Amino acid sequence: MISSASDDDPKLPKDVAVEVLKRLPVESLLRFRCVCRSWRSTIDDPRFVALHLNHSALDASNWHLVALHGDYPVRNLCYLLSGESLAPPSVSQIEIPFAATSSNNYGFVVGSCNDLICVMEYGHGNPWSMYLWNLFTRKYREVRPSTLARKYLCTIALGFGFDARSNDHKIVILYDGNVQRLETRVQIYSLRTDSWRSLECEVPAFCRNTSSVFLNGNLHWLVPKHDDMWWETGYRSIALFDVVNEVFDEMVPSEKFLHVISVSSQAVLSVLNDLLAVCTSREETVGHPETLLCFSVWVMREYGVPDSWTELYCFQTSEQVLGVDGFTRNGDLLLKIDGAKRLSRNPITGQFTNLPLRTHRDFYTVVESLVSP
Amino acid sequence: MSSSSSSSLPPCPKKMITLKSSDGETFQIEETAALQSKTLENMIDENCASTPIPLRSINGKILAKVVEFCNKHAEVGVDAESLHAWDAEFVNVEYTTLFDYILAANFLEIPTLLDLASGVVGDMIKGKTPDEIRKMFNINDAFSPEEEEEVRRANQWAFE
Repeated sequence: MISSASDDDPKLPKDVAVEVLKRLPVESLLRFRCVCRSWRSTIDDPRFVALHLNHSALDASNWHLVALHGDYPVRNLCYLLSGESLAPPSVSQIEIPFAATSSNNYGFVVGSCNDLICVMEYGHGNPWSMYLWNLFTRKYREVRPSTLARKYLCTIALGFGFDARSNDHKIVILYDGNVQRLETRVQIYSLRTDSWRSLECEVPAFCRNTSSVFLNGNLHWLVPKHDDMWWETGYRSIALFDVVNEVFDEMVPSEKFLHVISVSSQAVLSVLNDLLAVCTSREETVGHPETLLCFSVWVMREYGVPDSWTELYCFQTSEQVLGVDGFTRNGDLLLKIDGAKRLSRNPITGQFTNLPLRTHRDFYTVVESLVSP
Repeated sequence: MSSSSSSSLPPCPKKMITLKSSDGETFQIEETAALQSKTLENMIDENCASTPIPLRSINGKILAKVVEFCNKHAEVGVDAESLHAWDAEFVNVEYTTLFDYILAANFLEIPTLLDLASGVVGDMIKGKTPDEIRKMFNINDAFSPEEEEEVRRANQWAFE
């Protein structure tokens, strides 16, 4: 229990205040910091922030998906999608508080730890900048690149995860050491110390530009396999990085699941019902007048157990699907289609719904919280 | 209280425990209903529930309502809709009484009651201004106007 700083509010005991406040939306709490000293110190207390986040995560209505606007960073906007009910998710646009420096810049989301997201921005000839951002408090922090990153821009993979043991958010960068003959291949940023450090370790083989998923303290990347000509043909495993112990590992899939991902033309790693999930797709041309896309959704029922990979459902569609985003909290699958449009698919009814937004950017999960970047 | 529990053991009486409020009133509650309270469950597990359990922070008026709540939520065969309606009526009280429910639910560790009462108070206050909150809760350690302005400026958007 959070200790009482002052006892001079006779009508509202401290314990009652904490029970009520932890159930309130962030906007109300930021307003109520003004109520009195004891409310402000309660709301600012890191233990209360953690309590509020845990409670917030219990309610599906506090889970959202966020994607940068298609014209970011020229337009400093992002889309926020709420997938609470079985109805199509509601979409709102919110302003991004960090400034885009030039229209030549490019920006993307590195990843989400649910409470904070990490956005990276870079332009011609300039070192990149990263921003850790809480969409709900509208607070952000700029992360300056390390000296190494200022020299070498070539990265293989990026990740953003949370270390629950030291209560720290970390960014991981993997540099392309072969091209640049670097001795250091991995660097880690810690939000607590606001600094970068190098990590000496073996790195599993990765491919460029695969996005990471954070779950159960680990960052995950799907690892593509290559043919003799070094073309990517399907996937062979899932690489992971333990954010607490800062070591890499590889999750070798079960034989059945390996077959599915190795023949798929596209596979996307995601989270569904707090389980690691993969949505794969491949074209089916034989016996059909038009090309059909076959989708298959798999989850790892028991985290870390290869044999627990199970197919949840599959479906075919003639929609021009370009990619898969992942899942809303209620289990709808989000699909990218031609013209930067989006569809959501209800897994029970199989119905597709057009979403009123246009962006080719990926969606990331966020939970309403007071966590400060 | 009269619903039958186990048909296979007809002569076995229902196991009751006795709670004693801060003002000395005693209440009988069936053990199955009392198990919704983590605090009482622990006492039952440790065989500390054979004598009346003194609850020095809960008065008779509130304890009667808490017992009523536990009994209702332990009833078999109540559909979710009618329980929801019953709950809504249960918390249709002065907010000072809701505070007492929250304190009792917090002490006795009854998550359903804690959630219900805290949620109702939350809904009552979430749209209010700091000034309205201070009046409602009789709060008197407010900031000076200058200090308040500074705290407000940190998140101006939340006041618009």
